[in-house]
Amino acid sequence: MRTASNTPSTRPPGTDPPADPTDAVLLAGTRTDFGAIFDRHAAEIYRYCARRVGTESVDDAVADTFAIAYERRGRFDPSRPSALPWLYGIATNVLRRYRTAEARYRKLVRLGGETPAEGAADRAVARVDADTAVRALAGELDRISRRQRDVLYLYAAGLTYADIATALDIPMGTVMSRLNRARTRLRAALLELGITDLEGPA
Amino acid sequence: MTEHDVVDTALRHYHRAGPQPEPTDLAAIRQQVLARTARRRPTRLRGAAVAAAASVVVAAATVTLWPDGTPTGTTAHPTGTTTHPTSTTTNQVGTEAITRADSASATMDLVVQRVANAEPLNLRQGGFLHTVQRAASVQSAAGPDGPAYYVTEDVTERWSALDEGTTPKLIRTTRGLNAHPLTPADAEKLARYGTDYTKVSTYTFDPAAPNPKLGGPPPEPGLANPTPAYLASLPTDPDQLMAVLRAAVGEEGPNGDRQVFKAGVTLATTADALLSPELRAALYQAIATVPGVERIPGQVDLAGRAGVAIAHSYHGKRTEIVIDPATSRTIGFRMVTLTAQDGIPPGTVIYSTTTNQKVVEHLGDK
Repeated sequence: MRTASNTPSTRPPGTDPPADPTDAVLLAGTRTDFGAIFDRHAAEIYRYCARRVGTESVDDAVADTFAIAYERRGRFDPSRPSALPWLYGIATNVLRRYRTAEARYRKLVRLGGETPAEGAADRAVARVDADTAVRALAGELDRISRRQRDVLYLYAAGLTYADIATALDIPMGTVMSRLNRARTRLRAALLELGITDLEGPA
Repeated sequence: MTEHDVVDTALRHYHRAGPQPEPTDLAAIRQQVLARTARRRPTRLRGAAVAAAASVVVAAATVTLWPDGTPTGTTAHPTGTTTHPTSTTTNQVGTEAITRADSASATMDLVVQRVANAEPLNLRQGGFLHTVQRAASVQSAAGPDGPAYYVTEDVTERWSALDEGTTPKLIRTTRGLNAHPLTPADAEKLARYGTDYTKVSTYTFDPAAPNPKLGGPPPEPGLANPTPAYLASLPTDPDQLMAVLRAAVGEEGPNGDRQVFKAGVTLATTADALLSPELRAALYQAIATVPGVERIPGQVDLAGRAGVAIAHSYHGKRTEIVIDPATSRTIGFRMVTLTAQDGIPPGTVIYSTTTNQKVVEHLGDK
């Protein structure tokens, strides 16, 4: 672990002042500029990777993602407003190499070996339902195809259909059909557990 | 869209429930990334599993098997419950005949004749199922000249409550054992890349300890969590059992066949100690009828245990279930490349697993 004095700025997403250079400009710049790309997007990529492979492998996965992004920065389409979908795509490819960790981690989640969902509703019943839902999803995610899983994880991370299409380099219609197939299965799994309604995370 | 609201909310919960980065985590990763970009050293993927091995690894997470070194005879356990593999008698099919059989169905038919005399574990006393799984897999470390491959082993112990199926109450894993390069060329690359691939780590997962309130009910009984009651509900006719597997997979075509094979193999390994002779016979015969299965001639060696292998090939990889011809039990399974995959030569065992399974009195007993 680094000491606090070495800690680079880790601004929460969305707080960049409007005058900040765009991702495209930074990606065309120096290594220091690339550091700014990291600071801008690493937290989100971390959450995505951590959600898939857990804390044991997340550091390597995130580091690999950004190291590859640096190598391929010349291939980034500068007309894109944000590098984030592109980074999600790289991360998704990197995560393929962590499938063992991913499967293990999902199993852990399924068995409830995780800390309770942060931001879950306060009411105990709602929290139990949310925990149950999370565990059920982990079980169901094991049973769907990798392609559907990729789309689902990106969707869960908050990406739009268009961003998912960009990240995975597939047509938007494909995103929607995969997502709908996967959702139908997940919905059935939740229904089996009697979960028909959930309070959203705070 | 509205029909998916509950799913979307659940997905948001799912994402939020994941680990969050501390500033120090990101700082350390940032340091690593910038150091790597400075060295112009491309992607170093330590401990990354070869993608090819992954599809079985998912299944392996719940694999359980019989004790090592019990090709015949009886294994006594501290609790007095016993596994009782069939001993050879004069009116049984010889292991030689099984080894010589040339088709998957002929092999399974012969194996099944032995199953008839097999005694299942005595499960009535309750207690815990203790499973020791040993898995060897090819891993890769990336570097400037492409991936360097090495083989490493994990040993995982699991304890599950007998009447609740195979969902573990306690898991202990040791990873990174007996690491060695796949080929001399890989050894040279690993040395050049400076990859530390020999790190051994242990890991304990005790669901009761960190989050007692999350203990919750075990997953529903089913193929993924075969409780004794669920297994007793399965048909013992091979065709009917096949229909159950097909329904669970829900997909036709070659990929559906692959998944049905995998589902059968997973059940045979996961629930090995829990299978009645009738169900085991039906399961083996069902596996033998999956389109495309073949018998691997002669005997194969799985972690030092000789068995006969029934295989299914898909996309350049062959998955083999290995059965002990002497006891009719499943030894484990392995995956072999048929074509070069990501620089791994054909004929490489990229994943293999064997497990021991026995009944113990208390959680954590061995």
